[in-house]
Amino acid sequence: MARIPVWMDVDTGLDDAMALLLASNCENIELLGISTVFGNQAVEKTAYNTLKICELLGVNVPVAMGASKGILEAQIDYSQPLPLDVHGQDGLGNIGDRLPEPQMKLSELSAVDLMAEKIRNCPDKVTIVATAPLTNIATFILSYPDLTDKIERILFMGGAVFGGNIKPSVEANMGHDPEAAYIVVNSNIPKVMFGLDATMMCFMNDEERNHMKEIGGKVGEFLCDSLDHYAKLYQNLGGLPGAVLHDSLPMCWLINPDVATISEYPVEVELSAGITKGCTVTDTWNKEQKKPNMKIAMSADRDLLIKMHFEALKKYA
Amino acid sequence: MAEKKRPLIIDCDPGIDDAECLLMLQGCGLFDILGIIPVHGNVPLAKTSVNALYLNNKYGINTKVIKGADQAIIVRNPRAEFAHGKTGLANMEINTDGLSFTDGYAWDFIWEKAKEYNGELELIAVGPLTDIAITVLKHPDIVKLVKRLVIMGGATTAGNASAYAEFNIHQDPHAAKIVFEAGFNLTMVGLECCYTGYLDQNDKQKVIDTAKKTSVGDLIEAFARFDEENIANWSVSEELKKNFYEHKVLCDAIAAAVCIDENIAKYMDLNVIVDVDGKLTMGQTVVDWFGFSGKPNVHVAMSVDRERFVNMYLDCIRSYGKEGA
Repeated sequence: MARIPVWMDVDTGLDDAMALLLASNCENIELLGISTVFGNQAVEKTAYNTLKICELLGVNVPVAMGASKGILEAQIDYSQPLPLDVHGQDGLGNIGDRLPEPQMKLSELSAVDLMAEKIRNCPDKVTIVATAPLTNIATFILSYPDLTDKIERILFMGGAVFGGNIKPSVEANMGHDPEAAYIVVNSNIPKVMFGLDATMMCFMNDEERNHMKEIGGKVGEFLCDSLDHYAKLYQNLGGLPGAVLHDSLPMCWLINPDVATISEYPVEVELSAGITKGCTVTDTWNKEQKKPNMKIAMSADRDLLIKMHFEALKKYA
Repeated sequence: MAEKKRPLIIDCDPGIDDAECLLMLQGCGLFDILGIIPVHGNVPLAKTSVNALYLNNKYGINTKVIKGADQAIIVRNPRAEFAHGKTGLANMEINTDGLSFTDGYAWDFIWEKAKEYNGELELIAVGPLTDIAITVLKHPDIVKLVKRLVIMGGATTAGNASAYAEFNIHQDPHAAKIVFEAGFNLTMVGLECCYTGYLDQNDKQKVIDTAKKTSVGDLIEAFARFDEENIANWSVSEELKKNFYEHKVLCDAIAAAVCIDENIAKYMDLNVIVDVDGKLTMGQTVVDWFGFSGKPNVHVAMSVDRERFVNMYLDCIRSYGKEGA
């Protein structure tokens, strides 16, 4: 089977690290490169963390730094503790300093230029897996309009058919850059949305998390410990039995579509100022009589998703 | 000794007044025009780009013409064929045989030239601000690399695309917001400023008589003819038609004049916020006259010296008579 060429856009980020684990250990995936963006932490940190995680996992692909703020949103002040400390001040559960200084260097190209180079030179169409605010992807669409037909599809973690996590009906990746989300959603590129409806099902309980330590050597140990704070946050805040691995779901689905059930709906991104700005408004009853513009993951097979992580970890035993 | 020419890139959507703007920027002889970037706007890019190609040759600018964006970042608003004709250039038949675009991305070209000219590059944008916004998104350091950015766009009172929104901003409000907030040394030549530089009946005749003796006579006459026929068809009151006709406003040419000689205008430094949210006010350049909202981000050109403008325009036209002499 031909390998699927994949570009990843991340804000590493604890669950981004898990998505990288999956991508780098699937023989069907050819990872072309990684761009980083602000989101879970400042872009300098997410870029640095991505290099560290790549070295931990033994991934040798180019990494480029992208946008530090949303297209129109004001810059987030990351020098202060965030209102909700999800990923730790370092973006790696406050244990990033356990990993050595990365030897890899960031690409001299900007995120969109590196993406463009890799996508242009790839003989096949490229699948983008984005698990962060969509600023880099939107900037790519705007600045390389001639390359959009070389994208097979965009799988993105973000949005929600119902609900939200930074506002009642706004998910974080969308809320951090609603205009970018709008640009991506309204582009002609095929899209699959992995929103909170499905990703909130993707929790890893403590037993499973500790199992990573048993089977995954140093990698398993680091990933387990990095998620400790994150798991507690979900347990305390949401009453959930573990760490919610949002960003893993699109990558798992690319590897094995059995991991999510998919529907198709018309989706629009709300851009009007107010409490719903950034909401992925999904017309499930087709009130507006529009054609579906994307696929949407509605639920996930959690057990399969967890197994896939274990599978990926075996190589590090 | 001749003064060193000022490096300039022109982003435009020709457009009749864009043609008049280009005429001036070339005719004044002050600029080294590094490139012309046609953008979507008055008419679709397919037409503005061909018009730019034609004008580049017609005026003997002979610079690079690199296509910019074909649509706004987010919104899709109606074009302005009613004011510029179906082709964008007064329905003139134009021939671009043998002329070609320069390949490349407009936003990369602007940024590369800005670096090459080390803080000396000037930008003038007289269409929707899509290309400039993409340049900011892709190359955030562009803001400090250019000497200044002059735009034709915005309004401090009434709009012309909606009650308060001026056409160029209304075409791409999000791009305008990006550009206004980016931190450029930004001069806004809005509608009110342009109105102060109108041509009266006497000036209009002088323009035609002057142009007739030059290589741009055909163009200027075609624009004048189109104006006469076109305004007659507008669905506004006879009084308003008469007013439009007797006070001819060449918006983009006023921006050119401000670019050529900043002393032609009077300015206020103000905080201007582009609205992208209002159902009724989207695309309005909201002017904070009282400084409620923070530091000024824009040099707002309030008025021009009309007489100086008319003379400057006539001088620029005359420069096309020297050719082959």
